[in-house]
Amino acid sequence: MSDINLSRRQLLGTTAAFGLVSGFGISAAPALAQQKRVLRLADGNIGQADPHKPVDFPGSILMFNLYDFLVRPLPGGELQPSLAESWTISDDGKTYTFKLRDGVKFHDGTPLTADDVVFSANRMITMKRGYAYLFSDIGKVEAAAPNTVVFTLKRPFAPFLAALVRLAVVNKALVTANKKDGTFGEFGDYGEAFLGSADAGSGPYKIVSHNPQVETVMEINKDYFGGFAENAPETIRSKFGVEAVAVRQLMPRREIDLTRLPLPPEIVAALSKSPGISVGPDMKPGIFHFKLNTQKAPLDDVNVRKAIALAFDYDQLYGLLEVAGQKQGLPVRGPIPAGVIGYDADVPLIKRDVAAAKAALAASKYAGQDLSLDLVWFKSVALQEKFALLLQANLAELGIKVNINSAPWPQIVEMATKPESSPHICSVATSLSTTDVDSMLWGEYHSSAAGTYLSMHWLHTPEIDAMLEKTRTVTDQHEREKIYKELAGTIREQYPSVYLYQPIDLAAYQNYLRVPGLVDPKQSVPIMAGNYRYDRMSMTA
Amino acid sequence: MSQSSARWRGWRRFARNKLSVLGAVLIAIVFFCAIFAPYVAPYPEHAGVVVNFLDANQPPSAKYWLGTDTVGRDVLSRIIFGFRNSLMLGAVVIAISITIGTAIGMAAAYLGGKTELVLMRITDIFLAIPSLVLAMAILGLAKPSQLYAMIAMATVWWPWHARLVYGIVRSLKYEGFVVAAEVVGASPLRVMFSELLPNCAPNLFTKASLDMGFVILLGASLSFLGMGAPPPTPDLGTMVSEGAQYLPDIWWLSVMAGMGIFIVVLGFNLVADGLRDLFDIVG
Repeated sequence: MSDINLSRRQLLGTTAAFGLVSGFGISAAPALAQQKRVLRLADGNIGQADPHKPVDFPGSILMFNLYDFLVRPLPGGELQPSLAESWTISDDGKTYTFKLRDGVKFHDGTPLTADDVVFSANRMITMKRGYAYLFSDIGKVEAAAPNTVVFTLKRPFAPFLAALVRLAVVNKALVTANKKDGTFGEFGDYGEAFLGSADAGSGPYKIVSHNPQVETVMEINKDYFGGFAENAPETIRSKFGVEAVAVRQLMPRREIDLTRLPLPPEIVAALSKSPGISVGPDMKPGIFHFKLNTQKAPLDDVNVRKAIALAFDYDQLYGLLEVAGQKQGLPVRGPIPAGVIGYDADVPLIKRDVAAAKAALAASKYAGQDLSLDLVWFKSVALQEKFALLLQANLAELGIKVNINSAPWPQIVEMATKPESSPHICSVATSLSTTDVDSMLWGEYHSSAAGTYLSMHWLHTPEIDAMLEKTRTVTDQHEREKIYKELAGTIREQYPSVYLYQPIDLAAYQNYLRVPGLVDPKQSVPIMAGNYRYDRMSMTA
Repeated sequence: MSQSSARWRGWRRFARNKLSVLGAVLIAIVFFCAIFAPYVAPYPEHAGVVVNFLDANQPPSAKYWLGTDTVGRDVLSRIIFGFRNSLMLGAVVIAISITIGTAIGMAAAYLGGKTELVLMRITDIFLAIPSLVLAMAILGLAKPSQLYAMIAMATVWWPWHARLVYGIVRSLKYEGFVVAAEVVGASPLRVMFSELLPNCAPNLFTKASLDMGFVILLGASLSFLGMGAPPPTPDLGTMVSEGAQYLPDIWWLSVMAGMGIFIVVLGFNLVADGLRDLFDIVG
């Protein structure tokens, strides 16, 4: 925190000095106008700068602001040409040809060409980090001309265009010049060390300094072809590892402009009461679950899982999600969240029904036994403990004992690698990583993707696999929708999760900052970090 | 000199220090609350599996004297039940530490030679590592639970008792009564337990009482760091840590639980002072 303090003191210091030197006396107002517009973000996590490695929120924010992409997501989830000016898709759905925009330059002035796109795609596929799994179906990438890129897929892959919102294009010359020895043959370390602390992008902002544990400072890239919102911030300072309680202290003192971390309801309520601060919803499709480990007794019996889902008190939960006039979540109807293909508004919401829960438990092979379940929640999100305590109280009515433990994130990731080490119940949030629902469901339910926190339910059947594979080859949207609805039904009947709600992250911001996606749901970009594009924000004095 | 007058003189010596009496009163209250928690606590069910979101985050009031937490549970009731946990933790840890520490310290001092060298160097190694760090390392290997917390803390605590007993026995082992016992053929075990141990008792009592406060504080630190009893078990350290997230708006969570810890630790420390006067222990 001291750094934020310091920066403010420095700012005041320079302002005062400027005022004195230029003869304005103690009136600092004209000097302030000369100051750059600085946006200070408080992030609860750490941020990785390499655009081909992180799959988390802070990494996505950096990726979207430092780099550019062939296509970018628009509000509502449509795709907008960005580095690609236009594209054609072959009839068999296997060849995608992109024509690149003219005159795009990287931050160091090098022109961006098809070679850079090929290099970036290969870097991602070869390094197998981050979102590489979205591109596993690429057979080859070629530069047909300096401004033409051709992707040839091994098989038709309907979500491919949407996946490209995650293919950050890096500066091949710069990365190659800074490569170190490594395991990737002629590419050395593929610039991994270099990109960990520098940028090689063409996006609207460029890195001034970056320490993944502490802070990233970015400057505006005035030459960005996409242009900026009026009065867009010129300098971004994003502080990492900030805790909610610090936000509560610093925000009313105007030392933080925008937040990106889970804010407990108590803190949201306190901030909403502070003058000059607003809280807005960051909407993106996702689901908050209690994942039930279907391979661990007694949850290997679907009736026990059903009993748990029916015993949970959803109305109490919805009550908890409402804070200071804001909703932190919406009811869900199964594995597919609202706002994406396959969501079925006709499916009734599940309701608490203790009698039915008891009946389901009595019908299970564990009827009459003393059941004890382990529940693990993610330590950094205090709200989760309340859900855990609620489930504990609800299941006590069925005679099921719940042992609650919290765990830090790396431990949860480790638990998720095997069915034996996954707890009976784990609270987990899943969301789309592209604008296509495949990017969420594949990781959760396809057997080939098992072993991550997404699939801690360990429910994998040939039937579900087949449906997921089918949706990847079908390009007709109505046909896809039909399959997804059917798939959602199949999954729902197995009760692999207690589907709690569709989360809405609340972000607090100073009123002099305008973040379009947080103010107006119609301008919200429904993808993680989609609303944290600084070039779309504006700051007034 | 009758027994009762000796007791009376003891009490007089203890009570010379008014603060010791205050400490004794505090501890008596804490023990009373802990033992009769289900009858003393206004909402005993709030120590168990219960959620009461309607009454969440209530400031101290006539209904909830010390307010409620974020789940709507009565803070006073949870502190009272938290005393149980703390006292149990303190008592078990000290009992284990005294047993191990006394055995090792006495054996090292009385037997001397290689035994002394090996035992005391091991003790020194344990003393060299900061206790909180060592306890965290041990707990890191196991699931957080009351039992493991006790084991971890006993592991870091016994060396202090070993050192204490070692020092006393070293100064006593050439005293006349010890030599006399040896001359009449008493076995080393008998000398240690019948002759030396009773002479260590006053120091051990005083140290135990002093340590009780520190052990409870260490336990609270561990649970503050998330290594305490799993929910919904009320635990003072955990309550402070949870409340710290909501300062200053919901101040009563941390402050009240912190006061609970304060009272227990203060009480034991004051009593230890009195005991020192009583047993005439210098230093």
